[in-house]
Order: sequence, then structure tokens, then C-alpha cells
Amino acid sequence: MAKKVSLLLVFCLGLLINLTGCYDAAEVDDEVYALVLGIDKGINNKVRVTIQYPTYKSSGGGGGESKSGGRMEAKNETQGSIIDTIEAPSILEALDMYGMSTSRRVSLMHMKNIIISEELAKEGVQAYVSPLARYREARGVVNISVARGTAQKFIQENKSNIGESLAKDLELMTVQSDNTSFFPRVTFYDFYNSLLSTYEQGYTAYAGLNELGNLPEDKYAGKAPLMVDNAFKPGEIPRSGVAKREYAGTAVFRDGKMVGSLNSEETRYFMMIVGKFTKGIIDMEDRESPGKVISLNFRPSRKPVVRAYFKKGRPIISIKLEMEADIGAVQSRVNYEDKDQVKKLSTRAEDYLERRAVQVIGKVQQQYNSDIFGFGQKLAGYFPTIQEWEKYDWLSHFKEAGINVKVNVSIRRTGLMLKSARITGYEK
Amino acid sequence: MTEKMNDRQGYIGTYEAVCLTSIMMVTKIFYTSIAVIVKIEGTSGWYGTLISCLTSLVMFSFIFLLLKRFPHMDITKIFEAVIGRFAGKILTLLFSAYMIFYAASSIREFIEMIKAYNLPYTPPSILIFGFIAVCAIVAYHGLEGIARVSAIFFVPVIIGVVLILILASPNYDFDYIKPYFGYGLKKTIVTGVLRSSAYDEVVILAFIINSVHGLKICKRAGYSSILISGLTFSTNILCNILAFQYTAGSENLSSLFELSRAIYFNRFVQRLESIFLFAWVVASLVTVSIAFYLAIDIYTKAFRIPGHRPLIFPFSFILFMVALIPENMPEVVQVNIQFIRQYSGFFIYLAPIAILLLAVLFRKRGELHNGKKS
Repeated sequence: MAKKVSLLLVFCLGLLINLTGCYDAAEVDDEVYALVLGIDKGINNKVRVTIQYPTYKSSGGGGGESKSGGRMEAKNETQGSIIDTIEAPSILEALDMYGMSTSRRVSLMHMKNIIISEELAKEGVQAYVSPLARYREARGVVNISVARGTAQKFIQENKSNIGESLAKDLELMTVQSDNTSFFPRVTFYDFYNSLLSTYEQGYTAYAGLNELGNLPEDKYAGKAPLMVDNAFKPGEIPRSGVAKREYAGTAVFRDGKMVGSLNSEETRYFMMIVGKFTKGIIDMEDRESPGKVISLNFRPSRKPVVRAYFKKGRPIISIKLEMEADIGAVQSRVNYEDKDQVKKLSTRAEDYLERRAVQVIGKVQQQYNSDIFGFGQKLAGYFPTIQEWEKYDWLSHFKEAGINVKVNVSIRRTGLMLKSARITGYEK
Repeated sequence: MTEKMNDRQGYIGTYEAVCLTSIMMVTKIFYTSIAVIVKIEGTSGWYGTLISCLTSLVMFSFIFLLLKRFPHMDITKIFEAVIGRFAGKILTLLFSAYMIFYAASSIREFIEMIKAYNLPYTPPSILIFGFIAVCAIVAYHGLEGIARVSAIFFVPVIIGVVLILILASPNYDFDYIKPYFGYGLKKTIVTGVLRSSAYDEVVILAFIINSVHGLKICKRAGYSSILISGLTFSTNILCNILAFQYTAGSENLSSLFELSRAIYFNRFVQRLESIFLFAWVVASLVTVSIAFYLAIDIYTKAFRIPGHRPLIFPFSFILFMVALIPENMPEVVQVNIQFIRQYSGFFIYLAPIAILLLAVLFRKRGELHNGKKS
């Protein structure tokens, strides 16, 4: 009996050694976790890879301390993180090459963002994206964006300006897409699938650096005109602030190459069509009081209904958007809370959204010839087999498609007011 | 002697028999099977596997007819009764060899995948050793022990898989199943019939028939497990096409693992592949244990050796060696696994069917309950 027990114990101890995965064990502190991976065209070699990783210093990364706090920041050190750039023949070898200067192994296990420079995106991203799809550390749910200018510079300005955690900041930044729809949240997994797809083309968020010089502050311009169109590209938003990096719009791809972009305003209508618009406040000019704004808080009431068919060999796409809105603000104080006025306002909102959606589709269709909407999915059902579908080559026929858009808007609520009362002396 | 025999075989109920065969069939969804089907059949893979399921039901019916013709006899005894002791023994040993090949290939596929996803630097021999050690312990406890383990873990494994499929549902787009006929209806049907091999593990019931309380339970367990597996395969293939399209869907080493990695709700609900890991490891261990045990059991039946335990160590050694034969991952997938899931049916299904034909032709039958020959 004792012999059996002893043998069992020896066996179990043997298993302990084998089954603990010690070969692959890595202490958390033994690796640096790149949170952002930037990809630029190289100068001396094929690709320039930039990574941003936390510094493991006190106060959640140490960089939270300001320069005025007396601690020096290295040139490549931004709040709570270090940014390293290297040129290499490939991304994966670049990660190894960091090992020659960084005391810890670079891991992509906790990567949040991939930033591709616009120049590289325009040349084609397949060669850089495919290795990441194969690499076990790169997760499919990582967000991917194209940066105007270089990814390296973009990352150098990628600072956590609220709170100390850069990782949290990066994740919440992309969640802003759900709050405003001014840029799409695109995961690596979505983007990679679209690169291989025969139904649709790819797109990513469009990012850039704002030098904060677009907001004139030194002169009074008099009565400013009303511009309800928030049509900005990254780097062009008139604002001041701390963070230079901003996301505005969509980078449009065709056959793996960036062929153009949608601005922040166009992106909202694009997101409505693809069913990714969750909510957003859209300003319309008040027809009853020109120069004043009505703010409507839109959200989809159901998923967009897209139907597709062939008419005399020509693909026809019919899109129906069902939206709901709440009145957010009425500058004119016209009584839009009245049920007849609500109806009128709904009709105007429908016209407005319809016109904008048609413009966006027209732009993507005619200028970029790229089905980022995924209309091909609806037409594929007309082909019995994949061979016939691929032979038809929808992506080359996208430009010929006739596309109709119909929008229904139901204004549901009027905010906290039942009626807009006249402000005494306001009209004077 | 009797005690020893009971020790190695034991008796299992309908539920345990269903779990035993189902878990062995279902484990494939964790591996390359889904991507391979999507690669061959495209968007029609999800119903192509139902054709395999139907074919397997038909094939199992023939095997059941054979078992019915020779009541109280397991298939090894039937082989000997129909084609003679020598040829029957050879055929039985072929099944034993196939089970070793099956177990070794399954281990190797598991090891290659775990190296690709989780433990890239651990030497495969260490992983294989650990894996076989567990299987040997499970096999030591015999069929009854394996059946109990299967019965305990089958439901959690299925719950794990269902959980992954449900949590990944935000990634699904039903338009991705178009064009509906995939790479062609003919290709779907031909591949569907060929891939019935992926269900041929149901044949294990013919080897353990004496432990499953007779033909009725064997029949019920066989049909149920094929249907459960068919439904599981079909749902998994469908979900993978809906998430990855037929293009990227044919690339994944493990489509189900990739699906679990695609789950993202918010900062707090993500990285849920641990559910997958649990289901995957448990299902693989049980599957290999069953195949390993059966390899030994069939061997002992061929040579009428009482008790399987003395053979566990030598068979573990053989298993270890066979698992190390493939040089690389492509060899495992394109040779071993392709044979098991696409062509093994020619042997696993057709050998018993040929025996049935011979039995009918030479009018051979087993003994009836009252001991009289018909």
C-alpha cells in the first residue's frame, strides 16, 4: 500500500513539473505590453514600427506626473508611457529587434490600437495586416485606424489627458464612436475580413493630429454665419485643448488600398446606412427662423432595411432607415412641441437625412467606387454558387448600382419642455 | 477473473453511452474541421455536414443490423464468427491500430493547436507526455470510468460551446450564408457523403455493445449521438460562416477559438477564450482517453487477454511514438486528420457492412436468447 502511495506521489510530482506550463511562463513584469502599434513606411528598411507601452512606474505608469513636478521626461516618453520606433523588414521582426534596446520582451497581448499611416495605407496594407492575423498575440478586437501624416508622430501625441491609465483612455476613446458616430469603431477582425471579402470593401477610423491652430482667438469676427455641417477631417477641427490627437471621419479602402475618406459629418450618415449609428445630435437650420438651430438627438429605431435586386441586369439597392429623435434644443423658441409642428419637423428631418445619405453614397460610389456599405451581401443571394458570384465580381459593378434611400423619422420626445414660451424682449 | 473482466468493462447507461460517443464526435469542432469544411464547401458547409450526418445514420443502421444479427456479440466476435478466427483477428487488430492512430493524431492536433495559441515554446514531447499520462490514468479505470467522466463533462462542454456561440452573436451577419449553394450542390453532396467519416466514432458502440445493456440502448445511443453531433457541427459551421464569411472562415486554425477571441462587449466583458480552453481541453482529454482505451480493449479482445491494465504502459509508449511521427502541423492536418475525417469511413463503415453482406450471403447468424441457432 505504502509503495503504491509513494509511486502515486512521485508520479503526481512528475506531472506537476510537466503540467505547469513553465516553458511558456512569463512574469507580468518580464514583458512590456505595447498598447499601440504604429506602422509607417520605412526609409532605410521596409517598415517603420512604433510602439507605445506603459512605463510601470508609480502612480499607474509614472508619467502621470507633470514636468513641473520635477521629473524629467525623456524625449520619447509621453505621459505614463514610452514610445519607441524602429525600422525593420517586417512588423514581427521589429518586435524582436526592440529586444536589443528594451530590457523586456515586447508583447502585443494587451494591444488596443493599430495605427497605419495614410501614406502606407494608400500603397496597400495587405503585406502589413496579414502577418498580424497570423500572430497569436495580436487580438482581433484591437481597433484599427489610419492616421493623417505619420503613425509615429500621431503616437507621440497620444497622451492620456484624463486619468492615469493610457489603456483605459485608448479604449474609451474608441467608445466615443458609439456616443457621437463621428468616426467608426473598426476592429482588426472586421478590417481583415473585409480585405478578403467578396461582398464588401474595408474602412477604418480616420485619425490625425490637430495643431490646435484652427480656432481663431485673436479677432472678433462679428456675426458668425451658421454652419450646421460638422464636416471635418482629422486635424481640422476648430478647437483648443490638451490632446492633439483626434478621430474624425472614415478612411475608405478599395482592394486593400486607401482611396479616400469621409469627413466626420459624412461618417454619421455612412454609419446610419451600415447600421452602426447608435446615437448623435444633429443640428438643422430652423426654417422658421433662419440662422438659428434645432438640435435633434437621433438614434435608430430599428436596423436599416436594405433590399437589393437586379433590374434589366442593373443592380438596384433600396435602403430604408428608421430613425427616432428627441428635440434637444430650439434656439428660435418656436413651439415645435406642438403635435403638428412635430410632424413638420419630422418631415424636414427626413428630407435632411435622406439628402445627406444620398450624398454620401454618391461620393463613395462615384469617387471611390468602394462598397464599404456591404451591399454586396444582399445581392449574393441572386447567385447560386460562389463561383458564379465571384465571376460576376460585385465590387467592380458597385459603381453601376442604382441606390435609393428612404428615411423615416419619428420625433418622440421634446426634452424637459412641453412648450417653448416666448422670452420677454427676446425678439428685440 | 470475472471481477477483473467487470473491472475493465463495466456497464453504462443510455445517457452515458450517448455522452461517450457524442463527446468523441463533437470534439472536432474545436479543431481545424470547421475551416476545412468551409474551404471545401464554402457557404453551404453548414448543411453539407447534415448530409454527412444523414449518411452516418444510414451507415450506423447497417452496423446495427449486423449487431442485431449476432445478438450478445460485440463486433470483434462477429468478425471472427463470419470470416473466421484468423481474418477476424486481423480485422480486429486493424481497428485497434486505427484507434491508436486516431488517438495519436488527435493528441498531435491538440498539441499543435495549444502550441499555436497558448504554449508556443513548450516542447511538444512534454505536452504529449502530460496528455498521455492523464489518458492512461483515465483508461486505467476502464470503460465505466471513462463513461462517467464523459457523462460529467459532456454537458459543461456543450454549455461552453453554446456560450461562445451566443456571446459571439453580435459578429454574425446572416447575409454571409449567400450564395446558398456554396461551391456547388454537387460538391456539397459529395463532400457531405465523404465527410460522414467525421461521425464514424459511433462505431465504438459496436465494440462496447456488451456494456450498454443490449441492442435497444445501442441503437438509441447511436442515433442520438449522431443527431446531437450533426446539430452541433451544423450550428458551429453556420456561426463561423456568419462571423468570418466563407473567405476568412477557411483560414482559421481553430474557428471556434477565433470566435471566442472575437467576443467583445466592453472593457469588462472580453477575453472570454478561457471558456473555450476549458471545453477544449476537457473534450480532447476525454476523446483521446476513449480512443486509447478502445485500442487496448480491442487488442485484448483479439488475443483474449483478460484485463487491459497491463497493456496501458506499452500502449502509452506506442501512442507517444505515433503522435510524434508527423513532422509538422500541415502534415498532421493534411494527412492524419484528413484521413480520419474524410476517408476513414471507407474502413470504419464499410468493413462492418462488408461483414454484414458476407453474413447474409453465407447465412451466418448469432445465437438467440434461448440459445438456439436460427
